[in-house]
Amino acid sequence: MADVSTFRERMKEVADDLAPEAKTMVRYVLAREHALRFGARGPLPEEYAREALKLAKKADGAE
Amino acid sequence: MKFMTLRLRNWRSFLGDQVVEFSTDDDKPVTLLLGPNGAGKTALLNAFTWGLYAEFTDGFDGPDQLVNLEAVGVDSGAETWVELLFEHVGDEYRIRRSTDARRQLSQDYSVDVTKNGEPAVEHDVHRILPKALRDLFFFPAESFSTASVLKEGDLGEGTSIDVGKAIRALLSGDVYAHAGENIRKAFDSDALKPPMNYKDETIKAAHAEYVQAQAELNAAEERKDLLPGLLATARDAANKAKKEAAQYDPAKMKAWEQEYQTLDNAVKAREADATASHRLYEDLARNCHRHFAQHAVSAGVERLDLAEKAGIMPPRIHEGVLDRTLESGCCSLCGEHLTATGKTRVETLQSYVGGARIAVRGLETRTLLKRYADMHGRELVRLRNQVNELGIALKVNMPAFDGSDMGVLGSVLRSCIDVADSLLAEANRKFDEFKDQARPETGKSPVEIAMARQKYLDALTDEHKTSAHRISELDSNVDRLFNDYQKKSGKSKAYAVKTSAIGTLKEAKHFFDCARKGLEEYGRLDFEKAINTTFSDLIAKPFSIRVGDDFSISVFIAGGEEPLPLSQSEKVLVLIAFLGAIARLAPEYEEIAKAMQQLERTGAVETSRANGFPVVLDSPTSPLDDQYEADVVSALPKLLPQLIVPVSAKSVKVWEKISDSLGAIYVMELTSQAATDRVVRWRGKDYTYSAQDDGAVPARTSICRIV
Repeated sequence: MADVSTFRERMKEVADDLAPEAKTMVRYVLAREHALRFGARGPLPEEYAREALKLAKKADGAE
Repeated sequence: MKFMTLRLRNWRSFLGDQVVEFSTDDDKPVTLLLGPNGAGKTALLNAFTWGLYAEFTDGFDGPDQLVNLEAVGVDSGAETWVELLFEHVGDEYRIRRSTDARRQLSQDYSVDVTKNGEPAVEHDVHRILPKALRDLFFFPAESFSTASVLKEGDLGEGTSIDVGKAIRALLSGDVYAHAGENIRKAFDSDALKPPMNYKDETIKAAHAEYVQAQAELNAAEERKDLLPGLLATARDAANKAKKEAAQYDPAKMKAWEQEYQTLDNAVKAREADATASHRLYEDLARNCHRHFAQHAVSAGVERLDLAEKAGIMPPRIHEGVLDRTLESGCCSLCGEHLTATGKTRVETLQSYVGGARIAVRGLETRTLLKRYADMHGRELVRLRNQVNELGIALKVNMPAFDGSDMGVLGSVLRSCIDVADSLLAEANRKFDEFKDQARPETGKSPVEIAMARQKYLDALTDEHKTSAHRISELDSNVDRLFNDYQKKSGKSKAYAVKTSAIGTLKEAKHFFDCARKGLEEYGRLDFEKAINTTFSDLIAKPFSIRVGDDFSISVFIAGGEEPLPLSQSEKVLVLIAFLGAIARLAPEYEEIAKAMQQLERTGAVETSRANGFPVVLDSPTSPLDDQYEADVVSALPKLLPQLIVPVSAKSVKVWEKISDSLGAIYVMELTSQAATDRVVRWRGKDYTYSAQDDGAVPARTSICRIV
């Protein structure tokens, strides 16, 4: 049977493997999903796409 | 979390204001509500679900009749409300939901929530008691009888209760699910589409292949998300069909069809009687002018007869004879010469003849009147026969018809109409009741239906088993095609930025998918641990409960490999442990979700009775034989620090044995026309349980505390 460290470690590994932009993206998505948990989440996909694009441009030095 | 009070106004059978104060003493965790059938035990359970969620348990009748019918009779705008007061980690929450007789028809409800007396919103309550847990915290009696967890040899088949959903709700797992879902949709965003000003057929082809693969993956993931719900529904349907098939008897089906035909024919015959009664009444009404003219006609004929007797009617001699006699001076009839006296008499007669012309009209009138009277007589006989025939057919008490007039016939006919209408209503009621009884679909035997449903369930189960592998394959394919697309698009900077953004989203989605899967996997482990602890608290036997990937449960002897056959009471205790485990996990998970530590702490949660949330168990011993009841009742106080149990007083002595654990006892007193006068004896004292009252239509219930 797995224990808590297994899950925590597994998620830690997944998080460590994320590129810096993806880490920022995960934090951004979590914050938005919590903020709109009981609200209208319809516009979120577009918002995520724009945010991901912004992060990509920033990483590329375009912004 | 503990419920403090439940207040009701005009809720269903509960007329006026009622209040239940729940026991909050950990050592006396049970609040017992004893109520006869029809008193409103299920209505009480639904007071919780409606008050908290504006929802009802499955099978709750008449959700558009919430306001007590007697209250509506007095005031057509009467209102009902349910108010729950509970405390949670030192805060006091109050939620009151209300509606009235008119608004209830359109499910128009108002809700008022406060936290420590300050205005709050429903979400504040639902964060503590998520909607997904409604069926677990407020468990209906029917589910005790039908839960697949209780079925012989079916423990491994799982349960229709979606524990996975409940656990996700408690852990705010929906946040992770929605995150993955919204990122999946973000892939389709216009912002990430290839730049319009760059044309390259190779990139275009790579993009098309990637998009196609991503769409297939999205569809497979959406389908996978739907599968648990579909499986739960299919499992329920298959179990129900299996139960019906087990009881299937072709002879009974034939009898059912014959009875259907008989009742259908009865309705048609009653319809014909009712139509005939109404038509005959119309016929009578069309002829009523004869009834009203009858006296005038008789009086006219009588008067004309008198006139004739008095000689006012015309003499029976023609005026031409008299004219010729006077002209010739000889009688035109016998030729004899007229004397002076004779001449005078003939002249007198001649003057009468002139005045009698009017009297001739009187004669003609009398003939007409007599014809009218004859017709009236014939019509009266015809109507009398028809009414008589109808009255006999409808078994209506009738006076002797000889000499009866239309007034009497009208009165008899009105009785016939009343009887025919009520017989028709009764026939329709019987037919409707019969039609409401479960009947297999036309043309298919219940066995065929059960087989079809099982086949569908098997197909879904197979799909569920293979879906993870299929998604993994599709995911690899998407990765491969995306890498190809990204590589080829690297030639253009504008293109590369877009593919890089997609890459970032894919990484984020992978994170959320892992989190979601982990929450389910480790939540299942927490649940398995909790149900084992709970079950061992209830029953001191070396059993081990295993929870499958789909939250199905199996019971083994500790260390054994073969599932154990369980007794009736053991099965009910497994189900109660199942509910108790969730109620014990609920406060721990709520705290974890609040601290947003789901990914750190899930999978290592310890549960105990002391912190568990309360549950309301409607008639938990209903599927049990008497001999098993005591086992379950004596185990209940060990389940949670607060339990609310509406139950019938059938086995009150069994409950008396745990009286030390009962913090509050109420009797739901039923008063109705159909009830019998009964008392419930608790600790040697009698309390009214039900009372017969011809005036109590509809039935009413009041809640009285006895301990």
